[in-house]
Amino acid sequence: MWFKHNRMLLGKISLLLVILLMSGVSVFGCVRTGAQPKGWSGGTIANGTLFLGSMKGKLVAMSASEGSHLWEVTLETSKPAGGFGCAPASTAVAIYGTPAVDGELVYVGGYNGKIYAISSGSGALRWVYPREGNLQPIVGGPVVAWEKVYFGSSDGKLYVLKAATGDKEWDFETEDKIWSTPAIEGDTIFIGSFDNKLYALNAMSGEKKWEFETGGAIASTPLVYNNTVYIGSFDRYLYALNATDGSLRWKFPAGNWFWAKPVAYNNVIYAANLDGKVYALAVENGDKVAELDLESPVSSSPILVGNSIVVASEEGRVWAIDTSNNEKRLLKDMEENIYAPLSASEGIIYIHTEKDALYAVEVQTGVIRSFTLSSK
Amino acid sequence: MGIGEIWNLIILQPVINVLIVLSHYLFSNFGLAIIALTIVVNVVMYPLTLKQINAMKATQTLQPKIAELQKKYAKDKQKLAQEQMRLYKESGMSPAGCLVPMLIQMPIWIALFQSIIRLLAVVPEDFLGLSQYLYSWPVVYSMVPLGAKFLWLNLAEPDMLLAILVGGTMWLQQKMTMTPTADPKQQAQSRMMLWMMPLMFGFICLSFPSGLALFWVTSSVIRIAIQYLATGWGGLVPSKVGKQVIRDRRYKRRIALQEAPLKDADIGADIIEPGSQGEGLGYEKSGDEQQDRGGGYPTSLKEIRRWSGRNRGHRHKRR
Repeated sequence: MWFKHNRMLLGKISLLLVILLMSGVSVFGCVRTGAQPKGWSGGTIANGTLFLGSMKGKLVAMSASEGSHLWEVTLETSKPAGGFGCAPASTAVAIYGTPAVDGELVYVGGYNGKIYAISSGSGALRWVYPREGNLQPIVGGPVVAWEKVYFGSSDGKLYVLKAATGDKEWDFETEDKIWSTPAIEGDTIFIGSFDNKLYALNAMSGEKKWEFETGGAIASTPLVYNNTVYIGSFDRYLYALNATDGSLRWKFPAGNWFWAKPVAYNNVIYAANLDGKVYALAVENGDKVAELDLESPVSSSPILVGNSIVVASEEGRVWAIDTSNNEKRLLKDMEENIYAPLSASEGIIYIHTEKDALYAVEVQTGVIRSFTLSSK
Repeated sequence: MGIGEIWNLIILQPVINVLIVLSHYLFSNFGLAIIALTIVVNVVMYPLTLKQINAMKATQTLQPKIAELQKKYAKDKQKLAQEQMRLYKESGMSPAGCLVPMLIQMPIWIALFQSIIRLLAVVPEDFLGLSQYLYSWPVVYSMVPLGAKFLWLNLAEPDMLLAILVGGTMWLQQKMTMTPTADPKQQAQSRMMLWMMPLMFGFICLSFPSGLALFWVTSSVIRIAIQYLATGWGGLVPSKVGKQVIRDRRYKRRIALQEAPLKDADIGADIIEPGSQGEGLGYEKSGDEQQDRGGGYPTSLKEIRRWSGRNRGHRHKRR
């Protein structure tokens, strides 16, 4: 009798445990950790128009000065998955890469593994690649040069398409995912991969010029400045490499991963790190000029505005670093997490927050305006 | 310090870093790291698991005593409950003991799920957050993100075959721990448990990264091995009680078959006086009651034939 009752009790408790497990995994796994891809697209400003990928899977065009809504295009929707998994509950395509503008077309990559070319004036779709099926998720942004669009995919390949038509010209395969946005200098394209390597390729033919192996994966975008490539790695080093042959000039150790793209100004490199600090380093030898503690990781790429470096920490504080004395000044506390790279035009920085809000902040005065991303 | 920070500090962070280090020493193979972690977790919980198995075993040995108590205090439920409590107190058993290993594993499952999502760079937001969980060991920083390939699996994606394996191994494990019972209600309950849990876990696996399913399969295999060492094949091989239950079923089926034509022919014709039926109608009682009375129906087919033949003869004679 005891056992009979006990078995029934055990059965009920086991069932309860399974339900608890499912809810636990769902709550801790999906909701708390944000296992659903949302995106962190930065903005690109061209001819007074700001183009930005919203977290609702839309490419939005707005007037940079007034914040008025010009048009928006919803990228193709992804299929919702069933079950208890953490597949997207909504069908919006996450957009991580900052859109690129060239002439009358704006290019944007989606986490659904497609890249879109859209008319910058009307928002009409010009072409999509691939036309059938999908690539692996695209996290880095596209870059346009030489009438070609360059972008990396999670399948480990750098794709090169004709900018006008979307026809594939060539691709270059690395040994792991590419989440980094390429950088182009002259006829050379530089791209980092999760296979720990930075590659330098001929931008026309895709022929490899050189490669440099770091001690960790590379997710940040390279900076090319005075024939030197600066690239941060997950091994916690910032590397300065000769852009011509890939030889190491110097490397600088930090406390955590380098995720954000560095900024150069007046022979000083400003490199933000996930240890919450911005390191100011001399371009010649990597000597530390200054170290600014922002007390929160920095994954959003900083930007140069006038003679100030504006940088946003993940917890939402926006700082201006005066390059003349390397002193930091709190510009604004947005009180919303910031992962998206900053963009700027005419002394105004544009901040896309984790809550899918867009703010414009005047660097000199700190005056803030809120832009509405949705037309409705 | 909030509950989230405590969770991260004492559960999630160690699991993430241990997985990375294991992966480093196991040929940069995340699948092997998950298997190794599962073995470590099960080794740590071995005393608890053994306690659980022994508790189940002890439950079986207590059954005759409980039956005696039920007989003795059939009319006094309160006294029966008290005596039962006394009995398993004396034998040092605790129903909660059976659940502790499962309760301990739950946070590890959740932490493992979170770790897999982050370590395999499934979602950029989570992968970015991973940097804040890493210990400052050089090996940890250079290893991430971990490779998702293991055998035919992409550990970041669900896998049908592994989901079936999870269900299958869980079914085997459940079956081994099952105690045969003659009570139809209990049988139904056991059957439900036997199928429901594996089906649910299998279904869950179709929605989660297969790395988590790999943990469950490995865990089930280890527990099957422990269970085998402690109690043998258990419910997979029919025990004495199990055999008795099977015989009971066979007997009832056979009698039903033999009774069917007679019933058709004899409707309304038999007059059976109370007390005169003797052993002839004993088969209509349940197996439990039969056992409690210490008597019962034949235990071999030969006897069944003889017995049912005698029964039929008796009826014919009466007619």
